[in-house]
Amino acid sequence: MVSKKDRIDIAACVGTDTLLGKTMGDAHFPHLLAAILKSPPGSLVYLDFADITNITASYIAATLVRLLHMLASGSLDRHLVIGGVSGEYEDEITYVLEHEHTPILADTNNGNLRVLGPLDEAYVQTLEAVTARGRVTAKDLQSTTRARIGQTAWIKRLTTLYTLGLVKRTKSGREYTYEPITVKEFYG
Amino acid sequence: MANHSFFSRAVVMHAQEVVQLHRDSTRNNRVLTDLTLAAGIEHLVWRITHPVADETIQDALWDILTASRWPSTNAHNTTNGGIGVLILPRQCNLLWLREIESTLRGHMTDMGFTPKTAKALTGATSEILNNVWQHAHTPGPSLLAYHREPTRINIGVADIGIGVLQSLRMNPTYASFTTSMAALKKAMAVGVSSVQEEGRGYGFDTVLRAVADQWGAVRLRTGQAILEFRGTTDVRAATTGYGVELPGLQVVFTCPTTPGAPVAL
Repeated sequence: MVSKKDRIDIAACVGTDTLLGKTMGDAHFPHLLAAILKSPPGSLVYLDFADITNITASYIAATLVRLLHMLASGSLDRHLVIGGVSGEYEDEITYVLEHEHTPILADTNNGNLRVLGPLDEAYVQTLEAVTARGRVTAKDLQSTTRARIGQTAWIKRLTTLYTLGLVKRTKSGREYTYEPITVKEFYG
Repeated sequence: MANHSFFSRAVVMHAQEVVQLHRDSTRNNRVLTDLTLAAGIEHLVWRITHPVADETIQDALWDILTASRWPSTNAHNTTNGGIGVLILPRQCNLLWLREIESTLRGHMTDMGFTPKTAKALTGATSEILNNVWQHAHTPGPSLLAYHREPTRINIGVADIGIGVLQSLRMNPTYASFTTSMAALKKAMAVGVSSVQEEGRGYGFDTVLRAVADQWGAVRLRTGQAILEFRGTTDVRAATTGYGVELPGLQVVFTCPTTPGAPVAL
């Protein structure tokens, strides 16, 4: 069971376990946004779909994708992770994310995260490098990976991952340090 | 004169598309038989929008139900055995939507659909209902009908609104469309909507995917355009046809409980 204060039980938040269509998505969006904004800026918010029994593409586009667009535009200032996603509708979420060109981290229900939605191979490799090393800078990646990629390219990749909400970052001196998002804290 | 012309076209529709008339040897009168769900709701739309008909949806519905093999008691706003006919709330009603989704899902799992398929199909139905509320701009009531058969379910939604062409043309991107068929085909694609906004246009796609996964069939009718998908989501593989002009949009799909060969409506 996922716990902690920054976990949002979607079914409880919107008052239903069936999430159907854009109209319902539009009606629920303000509730979801308000719940997310209760968490402090920069924090990780866990969107728990465990009790959801049905969800449609239009609903996903009207809620989750909208949140991800806010995230990418910098107007949300939170990290989002989804969890409790049933295999029955994981495909639906992935399908919409692919069409909307936006990825999200999903908890595979044991604390391990994977990306749902589209992410170019270069970014996948960068995310794997960050996950493997823990805290890294672009300079670290340039010096420790075999790939012949310049520091500027690493900076660009890491910045993109941050913009997509897939890694955290903190400023240390003149450069940013990036670290993977983890959800272990949400487990017991 | 205009009414006469409309009536003539409607007669053609009767003869060619809607019903098969035959003589009942026992009662020696003519009865409507083999009225499929698609034919039934399209006939109903014609009846209630006929310029001289001047009858309510309830009267027309009652007539169709009593004249067909559809169970004929408790005809409207209720369910009877394997068939249910419900008139939609005029405006979006989320509670009603959830109740319908739950009822239909229950029917489907009772029939032997897997939970995943039942959810996909009820989700698809709710997308069609959302479309009615969001895009139909209908002056009259809209209808949801379902028909349980032993090994398949048929679901239909009919509105008498502005139709896909006029709806799509509200979006400046598609303002140049001039035919219902072109608009209907275009509307099948993800992202195509009457509203120019990101994250729109998933409704029809959801229906097509859910039905095609079961090798079912979808029939869409708006204006004079008729588009049928059998076991596919590819609009290039869809069958096109033309009929008497009907207002609004009528969507009917049929799905077998077990995927097999593509089924027809």
